[in-house]
Amino acid sequence: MSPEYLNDLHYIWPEVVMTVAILLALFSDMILGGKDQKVTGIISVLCTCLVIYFLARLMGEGVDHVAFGMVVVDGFALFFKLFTAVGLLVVLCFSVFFREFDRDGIGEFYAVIMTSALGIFFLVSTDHILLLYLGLEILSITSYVLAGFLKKERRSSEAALKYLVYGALSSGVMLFGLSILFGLTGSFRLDEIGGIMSAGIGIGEAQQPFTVAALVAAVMIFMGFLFKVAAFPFHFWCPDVYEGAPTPVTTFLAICSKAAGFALILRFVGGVFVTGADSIREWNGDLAFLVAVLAAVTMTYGNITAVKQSNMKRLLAYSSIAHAGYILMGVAAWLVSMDSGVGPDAVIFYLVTYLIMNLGAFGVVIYLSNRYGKETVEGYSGLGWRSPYAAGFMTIFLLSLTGIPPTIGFIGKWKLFVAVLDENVGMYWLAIVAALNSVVALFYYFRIAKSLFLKSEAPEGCEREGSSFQGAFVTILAVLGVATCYFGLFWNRIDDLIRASLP
Amino acid sequence: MEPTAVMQDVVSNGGGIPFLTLLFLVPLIGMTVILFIPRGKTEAIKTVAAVATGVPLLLAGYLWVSFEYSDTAMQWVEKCLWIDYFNIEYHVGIDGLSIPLVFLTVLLLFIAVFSSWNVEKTRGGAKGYFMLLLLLEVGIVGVFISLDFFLFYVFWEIMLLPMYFLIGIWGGPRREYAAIKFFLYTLVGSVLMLVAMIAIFLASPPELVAQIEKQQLVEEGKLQEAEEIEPHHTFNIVILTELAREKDPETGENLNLLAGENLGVKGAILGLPFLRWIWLFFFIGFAIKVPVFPFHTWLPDAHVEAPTAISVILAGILLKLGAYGILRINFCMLPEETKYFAHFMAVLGMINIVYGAFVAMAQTDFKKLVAYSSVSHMGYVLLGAAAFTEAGIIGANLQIFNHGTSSAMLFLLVGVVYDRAHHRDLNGFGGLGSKMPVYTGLMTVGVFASMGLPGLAGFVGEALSLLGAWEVYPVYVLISLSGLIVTAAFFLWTIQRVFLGPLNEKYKAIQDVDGREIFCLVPLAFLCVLLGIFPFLLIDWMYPALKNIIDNLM
Repeated sequence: MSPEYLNDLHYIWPEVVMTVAILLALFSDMILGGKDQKVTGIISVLCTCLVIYFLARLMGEGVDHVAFGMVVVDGFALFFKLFTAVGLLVVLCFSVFFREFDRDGIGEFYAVIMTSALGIFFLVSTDHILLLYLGLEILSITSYVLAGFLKKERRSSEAALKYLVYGALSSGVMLFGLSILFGLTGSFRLDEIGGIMSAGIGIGEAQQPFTVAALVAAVMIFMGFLFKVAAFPFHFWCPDVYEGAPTPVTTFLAICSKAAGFALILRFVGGVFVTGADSIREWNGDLAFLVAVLAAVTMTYGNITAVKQSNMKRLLAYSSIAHAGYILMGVAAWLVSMDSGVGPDAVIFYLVTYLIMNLGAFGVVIYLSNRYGKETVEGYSGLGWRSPYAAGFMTIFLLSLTGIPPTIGFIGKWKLFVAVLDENVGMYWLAIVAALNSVVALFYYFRIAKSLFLKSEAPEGCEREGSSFQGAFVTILAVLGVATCYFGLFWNRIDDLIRASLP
Repeated sequence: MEPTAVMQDVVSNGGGIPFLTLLFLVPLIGMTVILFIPRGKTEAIKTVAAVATGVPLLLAGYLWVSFEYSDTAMQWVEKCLWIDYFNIEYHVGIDGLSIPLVFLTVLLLFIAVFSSWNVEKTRGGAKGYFMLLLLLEVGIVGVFISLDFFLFYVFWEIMLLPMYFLIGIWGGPRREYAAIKFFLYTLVGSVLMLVAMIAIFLASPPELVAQIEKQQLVEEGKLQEAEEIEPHHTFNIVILTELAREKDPETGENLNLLAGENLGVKGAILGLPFLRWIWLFFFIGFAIKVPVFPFHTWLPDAHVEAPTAISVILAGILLKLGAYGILRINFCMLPEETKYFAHFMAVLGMINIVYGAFVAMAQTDFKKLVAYSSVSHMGYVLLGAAAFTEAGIIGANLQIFNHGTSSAMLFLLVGVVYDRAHHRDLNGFGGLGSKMPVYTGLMTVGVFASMGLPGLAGFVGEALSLLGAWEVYPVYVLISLSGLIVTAAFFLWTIQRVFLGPLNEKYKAIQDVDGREIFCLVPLAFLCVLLGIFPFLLIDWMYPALKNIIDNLM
């Protein structure tokens, strides 16, 4: 074993720890015989903390290629790993409290969800197409399993099957696109592909068909990404899966999986389109326009459809579609502005925003469903007076989701607006569409606040029997709520973090 | 941003004490304290609320007295860097345009606390109510003192949430509808304003901004910091105003430095140059708050459903925010566009005056009548300001302040009678004058001040705005006069229906105003009379700042 290889190990410690954690979770479940699952959950939580510690230690000492050039541990990869780990940590905490799991028995749930996160870890820290695809498939296949984890519920199984069918299709299309790209350039590495393309594929007259092929490949690959982020028109799986899956899984899919999709988009756009693919640059404007239109349609569709939803998870699913639309604004801005690099920082910032506020919102959904067994907007009627803290934090998260200061959601939206209004971009129409979308969003988000607070107090005895750990749960919500407000006023730290991790 | 450096920066201004920061910090602290008081201890909650609104009132009184009114520059300025990436500053200060409004705000909030002294008997309870009320004060005061556009926007939006819940929880029967309608309408305006704000930010020429900042720092003697300034865009309202004001030294023409050299859009969109769109976005944002016809439809709903104290704040201050925004942002930052849209504004002002008055005449609900009369009265502000004459703009600003006192008084008075009779139907009263003499007296002062009887506050504002507008838009003024007459008619008719004639048997045992209500009403009545007789008490304070705005537009 060469010492060089051992040195490289230093950079993948988080993955190593995560793998050990997965095994631990598996064995602990085996030893306990599925009896006391909370123990397994707590082991997983502690291991994830350890992963975060190792990630934090690596922060700031990123390198380019290690492990035979397969793995990239740059600031970008580290950032998204940290993002995923934090998301995973909170989701694991939610899972420990989640009552439907107590009833059904969940066995290897913790091992599977951590495997899913491991998939994201590899996915974001490579620019090699093979490892990228491998990571994506680890994520996807575990997601299908996770969505169907409530075995006794029909909706959950339906969600899993739907997700599988749609996912397999989009994954296939994307693989086809990747293979075209490989055929054109003969390389698996994104940076090399970008370089070869900028040098020009084919000569003179013959160049045209190659460029078209490259564009077709790009569109196909984008389809795969857009499926992951649930953007229009690849969103159809999203509401059903989000509604059917156990709520902690929904949280994970809505946040970590979506962020992974955007990480892919950024990595891909950065590698192939921005680092100098001159011969396809003339197409960038068109591609950017396409993405901008998709962004506008996605957010409008998501918001307008969300207005009529009654189930909270479905509502948040449509809201997450709308948020994907917002984030795509930043991608469009980047495609237009190219070298001046407007956009990626806004995209990443919005993802951080999205992480905090959506964890909070889903957390409250889980909390209220644990405590009152209610999961619909109407069912929340008057609960604000019974659980003022949880409902109060919900109001903060809703404000943030709408994009109203002083919450972090406003800053995220504001950065995206600055990106599309930049002099190198100038997509004013998109900013106005997005701005008006916030108004629609306000309407359905505040239906929830209305139900919680504006109705008369819910009657005595509406609580379910034996709700435990409420104090701990509310503490997690409080941390998220305070973070939402605090970073909405002082977000310098996040800016610093993001500037160190741009692709 | 080191915290110690921030503190030094803040404290080194404003004579050592950050007065303006305290103005919204005290309510914020009050809110936090109330959060930790148990729900049942209403006396403690109310005491904290009274103190947390009383202290800002004292502070504002002090600011009013020690305000240098001959100075056109911003006073009591506190400034420090907040977010370095976009050069967002924590920057507050007041001038002649904002100080009356700051004073009005803290006064009405203080009164609002006392006028809602019995709120614990309602279904929402006192705790949440006073927390939201204090949060509302934070937002409103913040808007009036902000000199950084970003900060301005943050405060502007902070107001929405408490308002939504205050109407939605403590309001009347249709409160849910009214609350969300208010929220949605205002948010439409705000998001357009947000887009416009970012456009202005990006339009500010980085080199010139740095030059101005350098100059300022050199004047303050901070040479080293002046060296470090790099070209950047700015949210600084003072600098943006200065840039908009810059004139060509030879031709005297406005250089239009914000005209969008740095913007991504060149040329016109749908026939309007981009900057005019920006102006329109700002204007719509503020016009919804004013409210200007046709954006006024949220107002009657919100007013009728809101509890008394919230109506007072709505009419007394929230409407003024819109007018303040038009003057501070549209007039100062986009003077050329403002001139282009002058007629448009004047016509809207005229429509407001006449339409508001006629609709008010048709109301049978007392509160709705006062609400529509507010629509009418805010029209004078727009008409007077759009004339760009000294009399016009002074009249507009007097009207802003005076309407704040008189409409607040009317809403309080409506609340008083509603508390006793539990309805507001104008035809359901009659002859109350004999049973409630003090109440009738106060109502008469409020009504006459509102309809502009000479000697009371309303007259000066209305007369000056019409006088100022007369030179420019004689036709509009003539039409508006009909609104004046209708206003007098419906107010007098109201007095007749409610207080005169034979006593309605149902109200034989009705009580006159009690001590607490008098305590709320008398300061406002006093201001109505005082500023009617000595309007210069206000004009002297405002004049230099307003003169500045007008000079810029001429």
